[in-house]
This record gives sequence, C-alpha cells and structure tokens, in this order.
Amino acid sequence: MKPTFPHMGTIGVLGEAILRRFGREVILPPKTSKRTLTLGSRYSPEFACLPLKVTLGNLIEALERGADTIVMLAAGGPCRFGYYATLQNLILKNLDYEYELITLDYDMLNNLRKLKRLAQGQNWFQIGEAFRFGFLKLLTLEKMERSAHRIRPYEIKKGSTTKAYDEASRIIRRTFSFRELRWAKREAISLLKKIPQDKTRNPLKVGVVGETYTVLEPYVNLEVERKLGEMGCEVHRPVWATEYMISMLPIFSRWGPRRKYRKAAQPYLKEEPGGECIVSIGGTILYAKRGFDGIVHIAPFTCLPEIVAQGILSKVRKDLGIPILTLVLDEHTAQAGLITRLEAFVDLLQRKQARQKMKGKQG
Amino acid sequence: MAIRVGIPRALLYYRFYPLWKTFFTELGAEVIVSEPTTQEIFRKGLKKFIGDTCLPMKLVFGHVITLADKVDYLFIPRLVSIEKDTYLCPHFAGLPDVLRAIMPDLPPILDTYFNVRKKGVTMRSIYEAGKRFDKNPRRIYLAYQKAQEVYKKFLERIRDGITPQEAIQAFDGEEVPPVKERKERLNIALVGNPYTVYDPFSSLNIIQKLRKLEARIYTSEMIPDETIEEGIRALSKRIYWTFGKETVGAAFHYLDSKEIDGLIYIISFECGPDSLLKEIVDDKARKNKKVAYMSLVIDEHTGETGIDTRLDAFVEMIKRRRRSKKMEGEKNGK
Ligand code: SF4
Ligand code: SF4
Repeated sequence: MKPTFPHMGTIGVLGEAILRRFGREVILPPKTSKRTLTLGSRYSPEFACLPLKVTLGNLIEALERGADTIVMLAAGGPCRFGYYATLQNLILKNLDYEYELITLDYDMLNNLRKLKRLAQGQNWFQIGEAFRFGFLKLLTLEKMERSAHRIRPYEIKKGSTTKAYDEASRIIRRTFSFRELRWAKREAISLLKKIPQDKTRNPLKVGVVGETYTVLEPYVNLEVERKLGEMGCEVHRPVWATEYMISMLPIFSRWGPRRKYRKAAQPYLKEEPGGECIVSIGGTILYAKRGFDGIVHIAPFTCLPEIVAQGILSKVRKDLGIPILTLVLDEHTAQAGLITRLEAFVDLLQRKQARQKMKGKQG
Repeated sequence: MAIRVGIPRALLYYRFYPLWKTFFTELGAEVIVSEPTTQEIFRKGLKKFIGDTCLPMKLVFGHVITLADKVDYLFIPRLVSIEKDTYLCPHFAGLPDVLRAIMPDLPPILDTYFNVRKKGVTMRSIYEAGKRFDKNPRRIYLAYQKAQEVYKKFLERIRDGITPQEAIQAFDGEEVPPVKERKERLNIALVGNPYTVYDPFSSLNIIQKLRKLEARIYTSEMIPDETIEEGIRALSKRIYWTFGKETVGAAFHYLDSKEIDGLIYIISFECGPDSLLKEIVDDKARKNKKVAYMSLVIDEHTGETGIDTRLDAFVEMIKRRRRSKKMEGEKNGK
C-alpha cells in the first residue's frame, strides 16, 4: 500500500509523519504547480470551489506517481468540504484510476478501525506516539513560520527571510523521530536568527484572515503573506493547521482554540455558518482592537462562508475603522493584478500610519 | 392595529409559507408578503449585496428592501437545519446577521434560531418566534399546532401532483385546476432548489413553459422522504444539505423509475452545493439512455429566448425517442 493525500499548506507534514511512522511508503503529490491547477480544473465541475480543483490535481499527480491509496478527511458540513472526497472519488473513477479510498469521517469508532489498519499492526501506544510526533513536528514548523512573519519586514536583504525559512522548513520536514526533530529545531532557529535585520524600522501590522485552505496554501494565495512581508508588513493570522485540526475534533468544537474568535464575533454573528467565517470575523475584530493597521481577507471564488463574512466585515470595517482588503481567488487570478492591489493597499496603510504619527506629535 | 410581519417572497417562502402565515395570523399578526420577483426587485438586491453570490441570495435582499417600510417586523429565521441530520447551506445561518450588517436601518428582524439537526423543532424556538405577538406559551403552541395542520394539508396537495407554486396559490385562495382534468402528454421531472425552481423570475417561467408544451411536472416534493433516501443510498456519503439531498434523491428516483420521459435540473449560477451535486446527477443521467436529461444553469444574464430554444430541442428529443421506441415495439410485435 502506497498512500497519498492532497496538499493543504503544512497539514501534509502531519499526515506524512504519521504514515511514515506507521512504516508506510508515502507518495506525496509533487508541489502544487501550474500543471496541478490545469489538471484539477479540467476535470472538476466548473463552479466547484478552488480547493476542490487544486486538491483533485494533487491526487491525479500522486496517482501518476504510483500512489494506490488515497487518505482523506471527509468530515464536515454544512460546507462543501465534507463532500470533496465523494465527488473526487467519482471523478477519478470515471477517469479509470485504480486505488483504494480511505476517508476519515465523524464516526470515530470507524476511524480508529481504519487507523489500526493503516498502522499495520502497531499497538495503540505506537499509534499515539505517531500522532504526538506528527503534531510536534507541525507545531515546530508553524513556530518557524511565525518567526519568519515577524522577521520579514525587518530583513535588510529582500528575500533573505524566505530563503532561511525554506531551508529551516526543509530541515524540519526531513525528520522522522523525536530526537532528529529536536536537533532540527535548534538548527532551524539559528538559521532564522542569523538573518540580518534593521530594527529601526517601524513595520505595519497586517492580519491575514480567510478560508483555511487558501490561507494555508501559498501557491494558491500567490504567497500573499510573503508579499506583504516584503512590502514591509508584519503579518499575523488566526488560521493555523494545528488549531484547525484540533477544532475539527467534536470534543473541541465548543471549547477549542476558536472560542476567543467566537466570543469576539458574537455582536455581529450569532451562529456559526461553518467554515472559517467566524474566525475571519472574530480575528478581524481582535486584530482591530489590538491596533493593527489593516486586514487582508482572502477567499476562493463562490466560497459560501466567506461571502457571509464579507457582508459582515463591511460593518466591522465601519464600526472599528480598520481598512480591509478582500481578495477573491480563482484559477485565473493573475500575479500582476494581485501585486498592484496589495501595493495600493499597503500604500494606503502607510499614509494612514504617517498621518496618525503627525497627529500624535502635534497633540 | 395588528402588528405587521413581513415575509420576503424568496428562499424558504416556497417551502414554508403556509406554515408561517398561519402561525402568525393565528397569533393576531398581519402577514405581508413582498410582491413577486421583478427585474426591479432583483436590481435593488444586487446593489446592496456585498460580494459575489448566488441569485437567490441577491433576490432575498431585494425583497427585504421592498418590504422594509411596510412592516413592523421582518421574519428571517436563522436556519441551520430544517430536518434531522441535514443542514442548509451556510448562507442561511448567516442571513439575518448579514442583512443587519449591510442594512442597519431595517425594521427589527425576527431571527428565530432553528437547528433541528439533532433534536427536532424545539418549543423554545416556537416560543421565540411567537413571543412578540402573544406572551402566552399555550396560545403560541396552539397557533403552531394549527399551522402544522394547515402545512400538512399543503404538503398532501403537492403529493397529489400539483407543484408547490400552485399549492401556494391554492392556499391563498386562487383556483388551481385539478391534475386529472389536464391534458398532458409528456412527463417531465423538475429538480433543483425550490426557491430557484418555483420563483418564476429565477426559473424564467419554466413551469409555465412546460405546461404550454403539455407536460406533466414531477417534483421532489411529490415523493416521500423514504423514497428520496432510497434514491441516494448508492452514494458513498449521504448528502447533508436538505435541498441537495432532495434534488439528487428525486433525480435518481425518477431516472430509475419508468414514470418520466425527461429530467430537468435547474441550478442557479454560483450555488455552492449544486456546483458539486450537478456532477453526480450528470454522471448518473449520462449512464441512463432512456431518459432525456438537461441541466440549466441560470444567472441574471440568462435570456428567456435561450431557454425556449433549449426546451424546444429537449421536447423534440423526447418525441423522437418515443417514436423510435414505438417503432421498435412494432417491429418486435411482428
Ligand atoms: S469553505 Fe469555501 S472553499 Fe471551503 S468548501 Fe466551503 S465553499 Fe469551498
Ligand atoms: S443552496 Fe445554493 S442557491 Fe441556495 S443559498 Fe446556498 S448557494 Fe445559494
């Protein structure tokens, strides 16, 4: 059995780590590319949301590389995500691919049975350790990402942070035991520490909110975080793979990491419409209260929960006076247009910052 | 003066209007429904809506705007789910909040919360919906019971073979010719979200057009829930959207039954659930050679003439199939 699964930002690291510790030979789809997108869009329903198309492209490329088992999450609803696996299965079968589909659903007992099978006879302790390792690895990676976001606006040589982060991430991704991970972490931290920085700068603070997949997958969001960073913004975001995975577990749906967003969004949105809607709104409000300069809200074209969020954010913007830029992405989104819009937005924020400083001096 | 409650002629109006109207009227309120959709209403909604979305959501904005200065309350329930183990699409849960955020000057919204996914309709939701009109829980409950009775009759009428649109007309006291007296030669199943199919503006009058072509219309509301569930049993994961489930369940049922000559699936452009489910219905219909199938993806730019041409071609195809079947039959008979 050679399992694979679609990319989803850093979440794949978790899946790979776990399956590798189960002793499986994982076949990862090649890095998401133009070809992935073309393949995915060709065989997907025209109006399906972007994540479905890209992940379908991932699966096709992985099957081409010899994967014979697809592992996917199929929990979800009310949004479309919960139905991805079923639909992609239909499409792939019609394309005559042969493979086995293993979906992890809300039925926990059944999930455990499937896990046991994937783990080829390892005992529950070993399975638990595999998960613990996967999560730790993912957390470490996210920590590096957070540092990179913080350092980028101060970097003296443009691109040096991204280069260092890519190297750090490569070192971490290579590890498959706790010990290796500990060493890799040390090395990665020192790499990021070595980036020459100009600490006299006063960067803008920008929050990036939106639908999970598009926020987490740099290829799909055209590296919006990196671009913002290199334009001189310190980027923060409320969506992280680890938190996302945790909030998928039913026991944490009320109390998990999303609680603070739900609370912040309460005056605007009483019920959770699903997806990241509540996090987009709650995150924006929390960032605004912390004095952020602006928010970039990203969503795939026709994304249901984010359209709801967009409507409500229009009010939040007025009430809290925070500039919000909404970027709606699809397979035709072009680099050039996106850069122009980001630059205009950052420009606006800079002028606003300068004005406020003037006022501060006068007062 | 009675308190005026506004119900937009959009979305779940096409499913629950008789229930809602009876409930509020029983409690002494006056129910005001917005006018049938027009280009004007659509444009009003389009201007206000923020972001890009499906036609039905733009339409409900338009209807709400036209109602706003005529009523004391707007009834826009916060619907997470309207039946067991299924959801509505995420738009419904957020709708009252989005309306309020974009148009702060609206009359107060009765945004009763319904999430019957696990527990069914709760007394609390019912009380919540009625408490502005009568503080007495018993009377509210009685009004609800009455509304349920009326609603059951409404559903029965549809099961007898008239479309929900006609059943609503009948509920409002209009004449609807009984099915038996009609001259109908084609049998066509029409599936899709009720608020797209039964709003003549959204569906470009398709029902009237089909009637003119002497078609008998079959809809998902005409078959019992069990049949719908039966229809989608073959899918590896149960469809968890109410209307998606009904659409696909009905489509599968009709495709497998011998009742119909053709199946039409109406979709509004940019509908989230339907964008995926269309693929599933298309797939099944492609493998079925006996029933003619057509899907219509509709948005505000779709013209009536385009639909007319496609319908004509569709009916022509059905007739041709019938002729050839008959010929085959005769040949075999000899
Ligand atoms: S959240 Fe948006 S992108 Fe994700 S499944 Fe739903 S509509 Fe698609
Ligand atoms: S189900 Fe489709 S048509 Fe209905 S509100 Fe949702 S997206 Fe719009």
